[in-house]
Amino acid sequence: MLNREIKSILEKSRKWGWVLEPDAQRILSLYGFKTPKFDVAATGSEAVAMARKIGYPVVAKIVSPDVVHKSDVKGVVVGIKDDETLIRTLARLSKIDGFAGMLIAEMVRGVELIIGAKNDFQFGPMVLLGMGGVGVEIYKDVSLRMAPLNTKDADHMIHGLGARKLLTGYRGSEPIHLNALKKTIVIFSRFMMDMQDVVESVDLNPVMCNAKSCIVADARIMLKK
Amino acid sequence: MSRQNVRELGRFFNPRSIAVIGVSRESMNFGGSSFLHHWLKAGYSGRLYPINPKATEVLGLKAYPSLRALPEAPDLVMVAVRADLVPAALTECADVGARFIHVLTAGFSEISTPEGRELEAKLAAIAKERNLRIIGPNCMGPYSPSSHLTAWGANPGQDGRLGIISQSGGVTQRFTEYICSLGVGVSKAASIGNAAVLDSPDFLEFMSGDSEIDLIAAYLESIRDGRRFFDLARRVTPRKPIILLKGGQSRRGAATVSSHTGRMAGDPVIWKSVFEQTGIVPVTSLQEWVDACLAFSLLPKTRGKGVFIVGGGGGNSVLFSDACIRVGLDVPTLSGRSMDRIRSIVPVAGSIAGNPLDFWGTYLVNDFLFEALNAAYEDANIHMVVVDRLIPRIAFHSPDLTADSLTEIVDFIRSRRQAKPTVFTIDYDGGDPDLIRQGSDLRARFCKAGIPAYPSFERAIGALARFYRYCRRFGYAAGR
Repeated sequence: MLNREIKSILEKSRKWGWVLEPDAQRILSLYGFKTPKFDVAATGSEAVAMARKIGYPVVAKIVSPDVVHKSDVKGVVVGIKDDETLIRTLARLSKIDGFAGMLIAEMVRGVELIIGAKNDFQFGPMVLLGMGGVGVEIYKDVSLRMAPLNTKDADHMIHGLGARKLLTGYRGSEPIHLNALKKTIVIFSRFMMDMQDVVESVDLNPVMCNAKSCIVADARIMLKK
Repeated sequence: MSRQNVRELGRFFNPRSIAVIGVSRESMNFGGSSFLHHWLKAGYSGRLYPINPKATEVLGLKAYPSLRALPEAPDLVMVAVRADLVPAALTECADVGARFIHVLTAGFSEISTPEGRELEAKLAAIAKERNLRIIGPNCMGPYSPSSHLTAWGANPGQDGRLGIISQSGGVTQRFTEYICSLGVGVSKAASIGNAAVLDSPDFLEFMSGDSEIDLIAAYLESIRDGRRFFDLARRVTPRKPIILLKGGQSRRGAATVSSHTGRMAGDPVIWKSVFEQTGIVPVTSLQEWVDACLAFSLLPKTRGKGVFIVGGGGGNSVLFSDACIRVGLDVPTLSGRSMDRIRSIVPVAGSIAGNPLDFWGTYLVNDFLFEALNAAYEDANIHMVVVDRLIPRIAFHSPDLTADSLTEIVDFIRSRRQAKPTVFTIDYDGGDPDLIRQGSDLRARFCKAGIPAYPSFERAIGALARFYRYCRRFGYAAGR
């Protein structure tokens, strides 16, 4: 169910056609997804205080209604370890068009996955699971299912990936928490069903999965025109 | 459409009377008159009403100037007038209380002009406003051999337990001809064209509740309400398999879809996931479609993927084994007991006792074949059997090959009630007319006796692989 706060964030975002990342993270966490600790800073002193509270290393990202694709404008910096780098990053990001603040989030580690969905013209919300990073574009290693999904569907999707061995432990790497991933997929499919009249597409990218949990590290919610 | 309303679609396939708007007095060209002609020839026993204001008689039938002049509201009206005259014809149908209409006419959204799209929207609006059930436009409409409603499709066709939903009359024509010639009959087929009013989900829901239909074969290019189709298919496939030939899975094919039925084909990746999620059985050609329908219609459920291969000779046995593995089936080792039985009939030299079983004797002496089959039927490693049956050829150096051994084979397999799915392959698709005829005669005799027979090993196991995956998915067969 979409509660009042989610609805009001969506309403506010209509003027941009998409949901700014801090708002998207807020929506996801209200809906029951695991999201990283984060905050948004406008000044250097705010940034430093927030980063210390979250704990270094942190990720810094541009918040701007003009920037849908943050990495295209070099608007994402990972692995920031100290105040000095953080302040320098803020200085650079604040020159980007439409700068409305800098999002500071905890660094999460794990296997990068993509969970996405779009409204198909014939079938409605379709959920996609794929390996993240560069791999998704080269190998097109994805599985697709129509929402809503149950745990069994989510299991089939995971087994439909060519790279599933990377998730279940390969050459000594630690297996990810598969139940957490399945749960994330199931919640996401329900989210898409609830949002189908409002959104065009949603991409959780990356979702960081490790032995303990699956955390949505970034999200793009595109609204219907 | 509500459940009860869907049930009334049965009227299309069993009408007591049919009026045809758009018949010519002279021309027998494709259209209203040619449909009338075929219905008469097929022995349609209901009342036929040609509508033509200028004629008193068409094909020996009394003609009427309009629907209003008819003594009754016809169960079915076929509209075959020019596209721009269709809306007026539909209004007339509604006025006299004729609600079931097949619009043969083309020239709607598929011609991709604003006028075409507008006419189709008008057709749909009239249907909605006047509560009409319309098949079409731009299609061949209903087909049912048991009602002698066979103006298109295999004629006379054969009554059976197959339901067909199709966005192509041409594809369905070939399909029904092919499958009926092998003895697998059709209960009902609907060629739905642009599907402006009644779409594939409506007929899927209707056929899923039709006790005369066990298996649904569909040729689709597009669906307006994919979600409804998906939900229905998910409910239907465990009880009634759906074999779906999806058109427009390539860029060129998809472009052709829009000029064929005026619709969008959709993303093949999405369709693939629809197949996976619903358990619909996808096929990619007319041959695969027929092959799968033979297997699904005639075979008992398989409990696994282990294939026993009989006959073929040495090299063929090797190739057949490769082919089985390629499609995801297995060629397991026989049990010790089966091997003992088979060794007792197979000579040491010139044959291979095992799986595949390469033993000329199974071809010459039916009792050898039956012993091999019995061994396989009782062997827990084996779930399905493919027998490569050769056409008698002069080259075989055996004098006794002209004797008819087929009747005995059929009787044997029938007496075992297809203990495990058993199919035959009988080759020949080269250019020698005599071998072609022998091959197709033998295949037809097997199929008509309820035993699938395929023109190649690859086609046989293609069908068996689909059949196995279906059985596994719905819990009949083991394996992942």
